[in-house]
Amino acid sequence: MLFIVHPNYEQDRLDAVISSVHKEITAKSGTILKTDNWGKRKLAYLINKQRYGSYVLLYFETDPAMVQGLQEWMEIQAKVLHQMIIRLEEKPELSDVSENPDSQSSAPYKRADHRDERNVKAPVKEVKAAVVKEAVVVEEAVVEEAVVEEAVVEEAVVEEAVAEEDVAVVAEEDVAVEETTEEKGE
Amino acid sequence: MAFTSRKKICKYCENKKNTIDYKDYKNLKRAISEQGKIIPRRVTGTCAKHQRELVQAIKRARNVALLPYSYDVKNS
Repeated sequence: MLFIVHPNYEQDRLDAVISSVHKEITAKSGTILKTDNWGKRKLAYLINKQRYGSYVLLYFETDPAMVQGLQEWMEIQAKVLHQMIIRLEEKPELSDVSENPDSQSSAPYKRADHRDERNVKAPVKEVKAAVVKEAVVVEEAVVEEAVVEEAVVEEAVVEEAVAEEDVAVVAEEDVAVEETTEEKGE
Repeated sequence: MAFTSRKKICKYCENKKNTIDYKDYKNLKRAISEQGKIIPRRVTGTCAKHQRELVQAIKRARNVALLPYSYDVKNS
């Protein structure tokens, strides 16, 4: 059973309401398995002109014939805004942990697998970017060396400089190739 | 050009440990439209068994004001 208590009933009086419900259930030959006070939370829509309500979740066992009487009794209670009794198919595994949905960081159902894939992909891309940067740096260094050598010994090192330039060109091509691969990867 | 739709897989069948509970309204929110309507399974691809459970859970959550019966799209 989940029921919503009027928001004006703060901690002490809320406890009084809960204990009165407990009494009513035990009077109807029921046994209480678990009480879970979720505290005050906002309602999705107004109930009796109230925006907020204190949620209390209660697990109990009783004879099915007693449920209707209990429901009628709950309806009469002015402090209780709303109540819902649900028959559970299986006996729940009860723990002391609160089942308040607000405090739980419930894992989303949606496409967990795909999200994992994305996480794996991301670091790979970063590595690629780093490689590209390194290539650029190397190329710049080569060009500088070539310039210096050309200035010092102009004639003799022409061939070497050409060779260096070739290297630079190759490096550029590498960069270009890697950029294109990255684009494809994206 | 052929319009081939991606094969939809029921996400509740994929993750077997996930039970559909009316108290877990944050996950139920994914199964309702922005107006608060339940999204049909023809759109979401949920299997028949889980859609039944889902509908039950959403209706229970609505009953106890965990989910709204309808969102007012104009005013919000």
